[in-house]
Order: sequence, then C-alpha cells, then structure tokens
Amino acid sequence: MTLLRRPARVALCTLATFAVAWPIAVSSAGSAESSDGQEAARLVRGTRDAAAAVDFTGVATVTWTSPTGKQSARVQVSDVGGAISASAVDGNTVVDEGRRTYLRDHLGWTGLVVEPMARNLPEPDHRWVLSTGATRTVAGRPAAVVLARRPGGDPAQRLAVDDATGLLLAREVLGPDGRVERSVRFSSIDVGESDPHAVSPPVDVHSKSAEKLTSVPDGYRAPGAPAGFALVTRSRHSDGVLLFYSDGVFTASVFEQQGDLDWDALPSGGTDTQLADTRTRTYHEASGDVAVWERNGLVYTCVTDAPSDVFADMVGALASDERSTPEAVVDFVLGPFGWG
Amino acid sequence: MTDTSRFDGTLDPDMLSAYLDDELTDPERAVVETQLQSSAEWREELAEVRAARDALRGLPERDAPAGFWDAVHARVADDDATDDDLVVPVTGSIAGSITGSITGARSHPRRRWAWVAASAAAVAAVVAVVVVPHRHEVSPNVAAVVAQHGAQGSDNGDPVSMLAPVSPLAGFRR
Repeated sequence: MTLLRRPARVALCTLATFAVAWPIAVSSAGSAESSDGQEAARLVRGTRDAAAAVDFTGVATVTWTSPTGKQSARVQVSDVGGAISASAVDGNTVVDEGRRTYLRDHLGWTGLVVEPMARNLPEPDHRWVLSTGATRTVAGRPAAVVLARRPGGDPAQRLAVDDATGLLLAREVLGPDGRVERSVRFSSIDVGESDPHAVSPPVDVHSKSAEKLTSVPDGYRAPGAPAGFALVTRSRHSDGVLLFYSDGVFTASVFEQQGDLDWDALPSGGTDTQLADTRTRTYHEASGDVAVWERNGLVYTCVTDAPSDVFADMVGALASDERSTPEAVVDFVLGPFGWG
Repeated sequence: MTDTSRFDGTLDPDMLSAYLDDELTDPERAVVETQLQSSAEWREELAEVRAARDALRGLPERDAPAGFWDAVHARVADDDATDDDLVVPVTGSIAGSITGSITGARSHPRRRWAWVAASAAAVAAVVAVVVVPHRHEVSPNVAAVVAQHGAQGSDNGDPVSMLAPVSPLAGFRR
C-alpha cells in the first residue's frame, strides 16, 4: 500500500466531502424549494374558501389597462354569511351567494345563469411555478406574498394573502414586461365586521341553470387543453355552448355560437387585430381581456383574467384550430364521459 | 314611432320590442327604463321579449330552390295569358292554335297536376327552410359573457378578485 503525501490526502478528503455534501445540499435546496411551492399552493387554495368563512367589509380598488390608458374603479366589497356583494361607484352591483349570482345594472336585477360545478379543477401549480415572497402590508394587515412565475422566471401573478384569515387582499396580474396589467387591491378592510348596508340578494329574481353537457354537440368544438388550460366544464345555453377553462391560476370562458359574426352589432370600444391570422375584436375590461372572432361557422367570445401573453396564446390556440392527433383522440374518446 | 300615451302601467310587449330595437325616443326610453327599474314583472317580460326576438332572428333565411321562382313566374304568366285569352277575342290561325293550346292547359287533369307540383314545390321549400341547417348572423352579448365568467370564476377560484371587477362593467355599450 502506498501512502499518500499530505497535500494529496487533503485534496482527496476535500473531494470526498464535496462529493457527499453536494447531493445533500442540492436535495435540501430542492426540498426547500418544493416545500415553498407547496406552501404557496396551499395559500392559493385557501383563498377559495376563506371568503366563505369570514365576514368582512372593505373598499377595493380595481385597475385595468385599456387602449385609452390606465383605468380604475373603487368597489365596496362586503361578505355577510358567505354572500359577497361588490358595488362599484357609479357602476353595477354584483351579489354572489354561492352558486347563484345576481347583477344589478341600470335596468335592475338580473339572475346570471347557474353553471355546473367543476370537479377536476387543476392545482395551482399545475402550470405555474409557485413561490412565496417577502411579507407585505395591505390595507394595514400583514400578508404573505405568493408569486406565480412563467417558465422563464418572470412573474405572471402576485397575490397578497392575509396572514390571519387567508383572505385575498390583493391580486396583480403582470404582463411579460413586468407591468401590472390588472389588479384588485383592498385599500381598507374590516375583518369580522358585518356591513349593515351590504346589498342583499334580490328575492324576486329567478336564475336559470345551464344544461351540463357530457359531450360536444354537433357543430361545436371543445378543445381539451388549449395553451396550457384544461377544460373543466361545458354547458348548453339557449343560444350557444359555454366552455370554462382553468390552468390552476387563471381562468377563461369561451362562448360558442353557430352562425356568422355580425361585426357591426358588437359593442363599441373594441380594437380590431389579427390573432393567429384571424380577424379578432378585442376589449380590455376590468374583469379581463375579451376577444371575439369567427371561424368555420362558429362565433367565439373568449374572456380571461390571464395576462396578455397568455390571453394571446389562448386565443391563438382556439382560433388556429390546431389540435395534435393525440389531443383529438383524447377529446373524441373522453367526450361522452363526465366533465365536472 | 311609439306613442308615450300608451304608458298606462300595463305591459306592452310592442313597447319593449321597440325599446330593444332602439326605436324609442329619449323620453320614451326613459319612461320604459323607469318602469323596468321599478317592476320585476316588466323585467321578466323584457327578458321574454328579448328571448322571443332573438329566437325569431335566429331563424335561418333560405332562398327557394333553384328554378322555383322561375317556375312560379312561368305558371303565373301562363295563367295570365289564359285569363287574357278568356276576355280578349283572338282570331286567325296562329291565335287559334294558341287558344287551343291554352284551353288545353285549363283542362282539369293538367290544372290539378299543376297545383300538385306547385304545392310540392312549396312544401319542399318549407322543408328546406326548417330541416336543412343554416347559418345566420350572430351578435354575441359580450357583457353577459364577461359577467358570466366572473360568476363562474368565483365558484372556482378566489371570489373577491373575480367578482369585484364585474361591478365596474361599464365599458360595454351597444
């Protein structure tokens, strides 16, 4: 046996230590990252239920970007026993009591159509890389920050989740350039307080229920996974078929109607653009971006709360009618079976 | 144009239809909207009128089968000529042959077949309109889709951030 000289032994020991420690370090880092992602996902899931468990009243500011510039609106938001009401100054009022939602505009109350429940909602980290950030203060309350990042690392959404209750205090949707494209943020909120002036659901307004579909009717299309979204419900309305998509963080609704699009009858304020070589009328509203187009005898109206680049991908995937053979096969095979 | 004096508190679907078609004057529109705001019954009637109107507009338009109207015109011209022949005396050998021909056309078996053919063509046209799928113009209710998205999103995500942006839904005006 040949004895190693001292420098060689030191180098060998260092190498051995490094070889042992590196996987542990990498594993620990990965584990920490994974643990952080799980915590972020838990916080996002918690916001879905927190509002039903906590009474509150507050004022939120809604911002969005339109072709004419930055827009904003102040909204009074109240939650009494799980019934949430939101009233915009000089705007409409919406009241949601679980499955039923009512909208009051200048013509009075309307009961929105009750849609089927989704049972296969994707997890928040289904598509997005989630992480937590430094705690911040929103409306005077400490809140955990949750980031949803694009594959390249740029954030697409930033949430502020109330430490004490799990309520969502702020949501910012970020464009690919890092700018806030749309946001909802409480400027004041009283948790545990029931607003005596909260708007109650109307008692004399009826809501119709959409017919849940288990397969796609002839003449309609229902892509199962366009641009990273998953189809979670589909329903029949009197004048078309409504598809609801989720990617775990953002949602999109696609309403399909058979016929030729009457461009002149569309609301004013839209912008004509080309998406996937298809003429499209787009709108930028507080609720999200909207696109209307027609293709192969179907008129599509798509609305999503996702950032502009995700919106463009979604519309492009639907408008270009590009489905891979496996996607088509999956849609065909799974079509007759239950969705949500 | 609609007469405002008809606003006596009773439901008038014609008035609501004119309202939907934007055929009312500003004062008439204001009166109707006041009624709608104060009466759930009026709002339900408005919803029904809107649904009926949309359904009617959704009915497909279809041209008659090729040659149908030519055949009808030819038949009408044929009958006109026959009728003219009945009141206008025609003389001469050529006129006599025409008269004879037309007279022959008025014989009962041929007339009956003509009516059968015309009826069959009419039935075929109706069947074509009803049965054959047609395309028609669509004007999506964009604001309704957006509101519906907010409501459904609140069931499947954070309700506050999905519902609060629905209330400033003021950008859409037809």
